[in-house]
Amino acid sequence: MSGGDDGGYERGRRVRKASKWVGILAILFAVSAPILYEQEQTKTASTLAALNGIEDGQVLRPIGGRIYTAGELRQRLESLPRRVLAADLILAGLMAGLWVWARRSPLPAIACALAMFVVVQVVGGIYSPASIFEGLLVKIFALVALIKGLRSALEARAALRTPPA
Amino acid sequence: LSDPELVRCRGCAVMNPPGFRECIACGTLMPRVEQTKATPASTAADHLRGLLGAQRARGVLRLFVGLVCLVVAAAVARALAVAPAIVELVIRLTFVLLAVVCGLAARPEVGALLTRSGGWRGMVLAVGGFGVMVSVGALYFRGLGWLGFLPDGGPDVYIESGWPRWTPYLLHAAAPAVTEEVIFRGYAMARLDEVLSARESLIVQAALFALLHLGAIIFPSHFAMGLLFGALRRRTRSLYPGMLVHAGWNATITWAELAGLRFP
Repeated sequence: MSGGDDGGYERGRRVRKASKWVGILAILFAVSAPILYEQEQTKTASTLAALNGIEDGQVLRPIGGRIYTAGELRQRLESLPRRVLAADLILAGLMAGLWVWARRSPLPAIACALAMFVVVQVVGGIYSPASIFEGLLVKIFALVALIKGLRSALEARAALRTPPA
Repeated sequence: LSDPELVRCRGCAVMNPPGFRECIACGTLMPRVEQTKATPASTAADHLRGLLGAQRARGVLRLFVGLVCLVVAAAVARALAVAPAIVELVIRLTFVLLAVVCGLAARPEVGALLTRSGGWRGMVLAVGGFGVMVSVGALYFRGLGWLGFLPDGGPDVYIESGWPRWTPYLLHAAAPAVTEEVIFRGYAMARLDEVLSARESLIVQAALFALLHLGAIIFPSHFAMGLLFGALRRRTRSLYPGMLVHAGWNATITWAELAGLRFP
């Protein structure tokens, strides 16, 4: 039925697995959004409490090389939990979109999902190095499945141009 | 393999019996039989071209890894309290270097895009694209501001460091427009075109462009910009209209931020 293409089946299995992982990541981002929102709210509440006695116009020590006034920092901290929630929901939406696209065109969808996953991990690691080790096993499984899926989808594109036997 | 009734899956290249909705191996949706176009038979030359294209497309992966390393290096420099203006300058210079390397690596494709001006049609499209971008971008960023999402610094780091007022326009507006167009619309799009369809490569380069601006909240706007610049490059077969719109948008933002306006 498949023309005896055993390598093709293995390739197909990897592509399917990678596509599934794109869907799983969408669900994980959506589920983690409210949890991270709650965590950020608790964290920022304690920092805002520390800023309570400081005047809005007072200049603070540089944070990450940038100088903020207490008012600016307060404004940023107040919006931080909402930023985290919005970022997670956008990522969940994007991953869900890529999962749908992967059903039609796996190669570009898996490539975009892998790039997005790597960038999210790198940026998360920069802002909070401890976050690299959170859910490490799931991250490794996702990364391996996406890389294998990408390689298989690339091989498939090359095989599409193979002349008939 | 040569059975004419079998349909090849675009996802994994496995041959499927006709009438199947999904590929039996990878689950990719199969085109309906009446939708499948009769494609000319592949030749050995096609096969070689496919292998070469897949090999060349790996350059985009190397570029992506390089840009991620640059992001990490910049974060390390900021953590080591290197002056923000110096970090920004080094990032811009690295982009110039990358653009030169990318231009040389894809000399025929990028060269062709740089020798065409785009003509009057390109200028008209650029002006129209800029108008659309400013209107939609202003609404989008105003919406973000209304939700309390403030932009994270930018051109004012040069002014804070006592640099002349024209430096943000050069380093934050003009230089990124030229280098990013050469890298994403020149090199990446040309390489992706070798393994993906025109629509797919347009979407993937826009996604990479948006991702490397590092912000989930600004991803939708930058993805749309990537699509617009990519479409301009396709329509005009030149990088200049995209560079003009890109530089115009960056200059508008730089001016607005330096003037202390909440636009965009």
